[in-house]
Amino acid sequence: MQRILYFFILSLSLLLFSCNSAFRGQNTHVVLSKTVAEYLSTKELIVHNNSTKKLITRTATIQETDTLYQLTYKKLKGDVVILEITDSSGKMRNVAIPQMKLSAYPVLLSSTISPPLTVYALRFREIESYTDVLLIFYNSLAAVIDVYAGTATMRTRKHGRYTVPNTYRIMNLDDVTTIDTANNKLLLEIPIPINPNPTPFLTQKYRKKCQYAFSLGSSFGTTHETSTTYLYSQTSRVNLPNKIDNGVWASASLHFQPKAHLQWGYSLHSNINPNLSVNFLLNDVGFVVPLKKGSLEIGCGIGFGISRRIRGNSYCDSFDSYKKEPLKTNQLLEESYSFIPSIHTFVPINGHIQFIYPLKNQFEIAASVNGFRIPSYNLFEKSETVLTKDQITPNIVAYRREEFTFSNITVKSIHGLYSIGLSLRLKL
Amino acid sequence: MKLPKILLLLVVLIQMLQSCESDDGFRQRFVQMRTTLVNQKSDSIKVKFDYERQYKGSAVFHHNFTILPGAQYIHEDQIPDNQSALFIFTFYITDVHGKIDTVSRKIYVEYYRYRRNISETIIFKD
Repeated sequence: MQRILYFFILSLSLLLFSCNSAFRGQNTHVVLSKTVAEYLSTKELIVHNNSTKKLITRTATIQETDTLYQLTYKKLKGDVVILEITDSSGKMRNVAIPQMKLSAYPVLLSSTISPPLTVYALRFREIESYTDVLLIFYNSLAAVIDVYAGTATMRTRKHGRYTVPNTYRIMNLDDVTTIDTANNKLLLEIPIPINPNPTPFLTQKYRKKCQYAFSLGSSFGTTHETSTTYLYSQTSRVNLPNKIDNGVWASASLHFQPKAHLQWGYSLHSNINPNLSVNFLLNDVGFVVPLKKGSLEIGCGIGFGISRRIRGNSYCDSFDSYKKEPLKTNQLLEESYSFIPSIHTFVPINGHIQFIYPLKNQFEIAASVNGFRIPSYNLFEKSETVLTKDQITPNIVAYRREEFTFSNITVKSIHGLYSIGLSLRLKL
Repeated sequence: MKLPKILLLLVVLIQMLQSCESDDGFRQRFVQMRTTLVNQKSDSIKVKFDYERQYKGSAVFHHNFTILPGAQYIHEDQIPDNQSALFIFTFYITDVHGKIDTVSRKIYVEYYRYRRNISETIIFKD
């Protein structure tokens, strides 16, 4: 129950509270042709937000390199800003510059420090009750701090998220040539720029557009155990298997594609096994390579998972020594490990390649190859029993069992899970 | 409308925090002891059993019983695992021919940080 609660608080914090716009650049640029740049370099250039309530102005400058000419100004809030060009004779020209609003960076406590800290703290089972309370308090506090910090940066850096689209350029001199201020009609009727090459991610009006893809899929995965350790410096002379069986995995995901080459989102993966339930949520990001037909996505992800051992075997073996010392000839030491159902949290890591092929009516099919690094845990109650045989008389024999039950022992194995699968995507 | 919303939020928060309440209470653990006498003789045996328990003072118990061929007698006891105690079992076994065997066993229990169970099976053969 506690794990689910942490997961809920963390997810909510990540989604709602951890965005800010403090790390965006100060300036934005409009690419110009050489003739336009040369013409504007002798003019007075002011950019304003065209607001009747609170007019904010910025001074624009022309920057030139050997191959690139651009108009630069300090960022200004607004979907369209006006470039006011004035020459020495008093002639003017207003040019509308489109702007788009960028996403805030998800960099605050809830998205950086909280997830690894929570996963790390949950490993200390010995002080579990204190850890639980501290974690709930910490995560709630972090979310509250993020709300205030996020709101503060959004307000103080409200201009930082507006930028000129890369594809917007001023190439014709006619578009910026100043006109007589007496000609009010031409001066005040400012044409809104139209994107000549609209894409699924930038509309005709230079508005950003995000594509959403919801997918359901299944895959077959094989596991390879790379390492096995016992937690809390425990040891065992009996081999305690801790496998994740090969089998079928199901997945559901929601991805966002804000740019032609970028895709990010969340995917939920779940194995179908009656003995060991493994579920994890990945936050993955991918680089999309458009192909002639379809596209290729190469990505990676990190997330939060819960594994639950439901059923398992118990193990037992006997030895004639204890701590490398031989026992008496009439004694034997029995080490037994009784399986205990258990739940553990973990951090899965993923790398994947998927080929996406368009079908009809917004539907796509994707074939993917995944590589995961996931741990699995197995909990046992350890007991050692000293078996002693005493031959009291030729007719009387006594068998004594002295059993010591130790604290639980946890086996942790790291697995490489390699899967190949198909999924059906609905793109909106 | 603000007050009902705040109250609702408080109720949800309290419910969430209640689910985190620890269920670790004080649980007294015990050392379990079991002695089993198994008669594998072809005839029944008579047993006189003296059981001395040195725990918070000394106490001696006497039992007399017969174990049929193939049958068994089980004696169980337990003490809190944070205590020390000495248990002395003495069995006087008389077979059908009147021959008496004496078996004496001792179990000493002291505080140990792990749970401990002790069992002993004594087998009588022809």
